Amino acid sequence: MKLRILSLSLLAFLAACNDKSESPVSDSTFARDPSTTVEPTSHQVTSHADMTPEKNLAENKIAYDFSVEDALEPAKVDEMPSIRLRQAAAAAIVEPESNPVPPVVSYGDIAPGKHPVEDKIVYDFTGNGALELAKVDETPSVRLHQMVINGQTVNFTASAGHLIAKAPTGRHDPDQAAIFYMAYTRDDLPHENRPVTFFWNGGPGSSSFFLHMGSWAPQRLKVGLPVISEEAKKEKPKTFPLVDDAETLLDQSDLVFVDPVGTGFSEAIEPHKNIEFWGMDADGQVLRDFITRYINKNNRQNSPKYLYGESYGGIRTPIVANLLVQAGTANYQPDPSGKKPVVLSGVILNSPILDYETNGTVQSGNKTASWAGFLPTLAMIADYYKKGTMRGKATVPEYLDILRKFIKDKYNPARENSAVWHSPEFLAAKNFPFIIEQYFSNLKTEISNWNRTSKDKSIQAKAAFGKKLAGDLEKKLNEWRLGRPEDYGSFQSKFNKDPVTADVGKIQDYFNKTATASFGKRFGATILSDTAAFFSDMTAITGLAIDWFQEFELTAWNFEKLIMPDSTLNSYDARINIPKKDGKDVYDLTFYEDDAFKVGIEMILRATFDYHSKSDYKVSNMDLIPDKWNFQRDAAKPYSRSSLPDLAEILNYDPSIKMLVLHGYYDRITPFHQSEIDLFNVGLADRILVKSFEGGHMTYESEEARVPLKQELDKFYGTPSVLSLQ
Amino acid sequence: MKHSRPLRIAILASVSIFTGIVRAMANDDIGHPPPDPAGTVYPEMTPEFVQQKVDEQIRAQFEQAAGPSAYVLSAEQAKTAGWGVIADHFPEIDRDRDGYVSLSDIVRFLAARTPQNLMKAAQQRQSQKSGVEIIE
Repeated sequence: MKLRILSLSLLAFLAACNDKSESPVSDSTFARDPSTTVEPTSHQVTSHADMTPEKNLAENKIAYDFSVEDALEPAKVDEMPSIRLRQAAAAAIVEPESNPVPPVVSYGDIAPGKHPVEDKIVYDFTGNGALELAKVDETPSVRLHQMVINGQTVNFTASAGHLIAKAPTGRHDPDQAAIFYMAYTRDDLPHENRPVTFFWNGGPGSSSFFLHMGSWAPQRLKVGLPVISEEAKKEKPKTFPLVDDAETLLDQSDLVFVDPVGTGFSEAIEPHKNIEFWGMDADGQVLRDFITRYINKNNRQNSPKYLYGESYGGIRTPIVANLLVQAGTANYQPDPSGKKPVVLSGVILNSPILDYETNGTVQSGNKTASWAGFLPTLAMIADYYKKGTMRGKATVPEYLDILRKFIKDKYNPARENSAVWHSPEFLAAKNFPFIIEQYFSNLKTEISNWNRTSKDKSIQAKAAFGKKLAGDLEKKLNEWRLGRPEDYGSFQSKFNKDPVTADVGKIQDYFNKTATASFGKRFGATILSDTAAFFSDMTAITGLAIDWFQEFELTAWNFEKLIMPDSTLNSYDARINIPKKDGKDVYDLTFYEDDAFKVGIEMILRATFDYHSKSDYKVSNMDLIPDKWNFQRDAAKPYSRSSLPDLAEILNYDPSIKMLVLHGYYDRITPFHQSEIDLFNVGLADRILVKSFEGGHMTYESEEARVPLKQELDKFYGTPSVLSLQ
Repeated sequence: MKHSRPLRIAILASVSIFTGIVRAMANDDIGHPPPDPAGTVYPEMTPEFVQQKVDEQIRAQFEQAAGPSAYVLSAEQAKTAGWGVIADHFPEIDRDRDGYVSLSDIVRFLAARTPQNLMKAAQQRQSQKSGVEIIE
């Protein structure tokens, strides 16, 4: 194991060497001596266990050693550099009035002592997973660290462990789940002015590892988007450089990364089972109870509190926030400080889905949802690949305004005012090519399995079924009058005679050639008076000179096939592209970074948090959880697929809560304009700002987006509540 | 019944065709809700609909905390029911100081805290400070 970890460390080290010359991002927020920047390390965060005064002087040269043995060394608090704590922070230290000089104490005097954890539990991430309560130990691992942020040396504590999400009083079996978290806290700062932010990803079924390894922790894995290496074009990356995070949010807030039940090391507690918490409301409630426990255990009642959710976090976070706001301080333990408690200060949604019914990619059943929300994203992708011509010399903000205006003035009216757009015939026709394609595909599969001479009954049954498919297909072709009747009419008779020689492929080719013309003839005369101009604009925006009669409303998946037919594009950031090899994807690009992130999270668990588990950290349980997830809300909430009413309800209870939505331009999963539309439709557009950046779904993985993103976050954290209630 | 087997295969295959289409379209990895039953009507998200749902939720919370036939609620009842936000602001809601609030008391309190009203109040405070009169 040690060899493996050291190897990984070496890989990260070597990658960091390469990283230096490529980095487009200034390291100016770190107080690095220019003479040391040539040192082949990017690991500037130092752990106190390694930090002798001599080492501290040369801290820029210290690198992590990810060996387990090192991580398990006894604490050497006496070797820690002393720091002069901020006077306000030393609330527990009584100063003699005669001595105006603040006492010199070490961070270790304030922070909890170093504490490694050996977690021998084998966690069960299935739906039946259920821990014995007696096995849950709420004592976290602790390791103390130091880094330089904005030129200031900062001490912080990394702690990881479980807390029991306990249901409010009056419930049966209140100990619901052991929720795993990893926290970065500055324990020398007074709680009342020090925000704490709770992070989670989405899925549902993802741990918090994307946000943890990629976004705002003291260290991050540098994915380096949109650049991908030549190696990464051949094989999925196994590692990225671990670098100090020049944009870490630790300067603004303590950071707590939270893993929902069935991910990370989080598991239900008997008699509950994991699956009980795999639902929209149950998930929100158990996360609310975790946060309450964290607040009480760490005496954070009076701290400003923020929630930061990503992707499905756009549903999860408003639900949790709403539950927290409604609970108020009902479940807070008394705060010894007597300071005024703070329930919730702000909500940040990174690439959220706010309504499943309006998002064309994931809509649950409303197949008539508009794709207007996607069009600006597709336009930005077309512009990135220099295919679109609409932008001209406009800046990105100017271009986005042009696109919003096009959608408002032309796209929506074309869709809403034209009888054709709403005709059931046309809606069916839109899906028809997919259906026909599936028919052909299934027929080909059936034929390949047939043995014409077989007497086997199961083979004969397949043959019978195949003939039925052929009949259904013929009916479909006839129904839509696609192609010449003499061509499709003879199809079934040929097929019935001998499916192998019926040449399904030839029929399909003929269908594909004739379908476009038939669609155009059928709908062309009635669609719009200025059809040609509208379609010309669509071509200029998307870069696709296609027959818009057939595409009409361009979907994200069709767009990918058409815009870069020889490349595979990443769904989350379409700038990630890899040329296909022999017409096939080199590898599944969907989660380009997850292998490397998994390696990274295992590394920092040991090295940064001193947490050593027998189980593998469950970075993702998406093979299981989404299929088991209860996508229904409580009976009183028929808007089950949307968090928009929750956002409104939060503001109804506390209009002072700040809210911010962040997006990337190139994200085809949760497009930025969809959030703009969703918020506008419920009257919240002026209240909840949507800010978009040069990036994708995991916006922070894009190097050029990081500084502007952090500036936006700084502004958000630095702004007092929207409206003071005092 | 003798046709039950081919029929079952046909049904399964039909389902597989449908799911095949769905999967072909689902080139991402965000959780997908299952299709709703046929005939499901989706509410259109409008400011009015959302406000209506908020009002319904508040009423439901009140009934849960106070009991379905009760007209008033104490701070303790609100806290016990987990509606701590009402308990926390009870002194502001309970204007007659009798230890109980009605649903309309709560609605009035929340309505006064809407961003629009608070903004107006803030403007008025500002105008009083600056001496500038706001004419509406």
